[in-house]
Amino acid sequence: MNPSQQQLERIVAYLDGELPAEESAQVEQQLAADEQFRQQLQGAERAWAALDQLPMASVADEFSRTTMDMVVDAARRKVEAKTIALPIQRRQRGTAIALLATMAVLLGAVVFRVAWQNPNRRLLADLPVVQHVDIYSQFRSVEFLQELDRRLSEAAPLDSAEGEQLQAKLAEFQFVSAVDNREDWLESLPADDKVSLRAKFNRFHELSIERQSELRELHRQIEAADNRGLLLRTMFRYQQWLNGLPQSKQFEYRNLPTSDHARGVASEMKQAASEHRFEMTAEQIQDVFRHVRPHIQKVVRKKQKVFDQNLSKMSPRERRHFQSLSKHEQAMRSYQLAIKDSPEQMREFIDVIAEALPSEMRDTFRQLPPWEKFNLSRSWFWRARSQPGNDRRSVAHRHSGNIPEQELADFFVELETDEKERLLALPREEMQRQLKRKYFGRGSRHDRLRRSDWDSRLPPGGPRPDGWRRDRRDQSGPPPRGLRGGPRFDGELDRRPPRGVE
Amino acid sequence: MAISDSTAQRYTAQDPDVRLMLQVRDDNAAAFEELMQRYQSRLVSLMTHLVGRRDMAEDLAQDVFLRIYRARKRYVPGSKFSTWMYTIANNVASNALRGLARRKEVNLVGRESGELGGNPLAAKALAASGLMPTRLLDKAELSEVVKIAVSALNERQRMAVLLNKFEHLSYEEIAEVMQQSPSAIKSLLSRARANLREVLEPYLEQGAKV
Repeated sequence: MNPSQQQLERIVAYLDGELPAEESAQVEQQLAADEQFRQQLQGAERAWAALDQLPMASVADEFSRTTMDMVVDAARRKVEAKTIALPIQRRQRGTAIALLATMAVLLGAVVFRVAWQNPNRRLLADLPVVQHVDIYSQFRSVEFLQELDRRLSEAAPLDSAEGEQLQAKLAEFQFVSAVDNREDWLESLPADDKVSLRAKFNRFHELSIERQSELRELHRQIEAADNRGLLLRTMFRYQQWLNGLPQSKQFEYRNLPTSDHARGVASEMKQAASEHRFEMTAEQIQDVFRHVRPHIQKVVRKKQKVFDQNLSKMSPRERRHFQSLSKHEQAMRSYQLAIKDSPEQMREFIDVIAEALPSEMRDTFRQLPPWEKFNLSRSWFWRARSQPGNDRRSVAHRHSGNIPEQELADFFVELETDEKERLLALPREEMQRQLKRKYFGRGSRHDRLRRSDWDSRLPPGGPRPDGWRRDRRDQSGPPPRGLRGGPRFDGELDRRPPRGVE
Repeated sequence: MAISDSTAQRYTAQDPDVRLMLQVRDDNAAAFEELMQRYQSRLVSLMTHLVGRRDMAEDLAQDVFLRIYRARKRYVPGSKFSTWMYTIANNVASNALRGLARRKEVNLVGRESGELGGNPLAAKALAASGLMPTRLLDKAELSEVVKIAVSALNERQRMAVLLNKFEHLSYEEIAEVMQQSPSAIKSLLSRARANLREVLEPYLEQGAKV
């Protein structure tokens, strides 16, 4: 072999990852030093990459149907041939072994033919892929799961309840992946789940043939992975998180390159896991505010005179609205107005809340940065403000994340101007999502980016000074209607709290 | 060659397709269909690039599946399932190409050397396509040129390239499929790449429209 051929072999083997580590290092050294060698390698790489342009075949259902027909036909012919040969074999050999072997072949072929007649045959063959079609459609490669798993395991370990839930899903995945279990599993499904599975089956078959093949390959790669248990857990965690995401956001993530996709998702999932620690039911929030109420009443009593003065300055419409609120809500709104420009009172408020929190949450809460304590306190306050006895807002809905639009609109109005502008610039669905997150005291990426700015502006241990205040531009009223992405704010003018109350 | 129990166990544990094939051995039709679903498109693609005709490629792929079914009772996992399946595919494709060559249905004069000049087919095909390197190609045209470049490789080079590029088989696995040594495959692939580069380079230097 001549030297240039030898060199080419080294280059090709290097590109294919088939060189031992030592030789690879030598190639890399030569690459750094030898321009001609580098060009040769780049040329070989370019030509190899161009093969990606080669069209790939996709095969319609007809292909597998006719192939299976051929196989079943072969089995039938085998049965016929053996059946004809049976008496001869018996006569000639007379051995039980030959008879048994023949019978086994016959039985196998018959079983094969019977299975082919199964009306659920297509579903059974693709069952694990069909069952997971929704989540498999959300990423392109097993590398995404590897990367996501690596990033999540660094900072967001599972809690025990989540772990158990995922364990059950994992067990089901493994059960359904085994071909022999599928029919029994299908049989045991409740009627509703069967309907849902049928819908998934239809969704799977609505995909292009190429995409179907990709999903099958994805499933195969996950199954073949050494760390498939971990990958599946990560996949199910990802699925759980995705369920709370709007379609547009899911689409955005799906179309990112693998590493950006994994990085973005991991970051948001970690944030969600951290927020999960401070999730409270409506009842828990009411409990907290039962302890906070004496403090609120004290402040409201102290400021009563100022409230009365300001009430008289309100427009008749604003006054009517304020007076239509329940006593509880009037008190809460009055309190909000009382503390809105007073960092000291806000800090006091946060301290009172911290004191009233369930013991398992209290210390962790106190360790949060001020901007996060503020976000959470504001969220709890909002959720407690309209309770109890306000029939407009359903506690159950609020807890499930289904917040009445009016309440979200009220919440929006009281955000800071730049935050409102940022939200208004988002697509409607995404804006709603981020607004709901804020409502529940969950920081957005934007909040996180600004946290250092916030922290520097807050007094030590206190909320930001202008926490609830709307600036002058806001006084003009609600966000403009008809803006792209903006929610509907029907009647929001009426919902604004009275102005200028100090 | 006899396959040891430990080898069989190793492949059974590592390769989900081997586990499916073992169920096919036990006459499980669903397992067979699942295997088929997993590989049918890839196999038809491979055959199409090998024999150059889609209808024939589908027939050959069906033949491969039929052989897998017939061989099921003798199946012992001695390699990854895909390696075993591509070995069958290689035999089926080689027989078909020999048959075609005998009937002179296609020009199958392959070159064992790396010289493109030795194969007038490629040069002729390129000239006939009108896709001359002096102008910018769009994606469809580039795809056509790549197809021509691949079809200009000889049968063995083509098989090795397709298995390596699209089926991600290692040199060792390709060697097993093609019943050659890994070092022979290394040479084969380097010659194939040199040939591909020779045909494609002028077009790639021009770049492609997207």
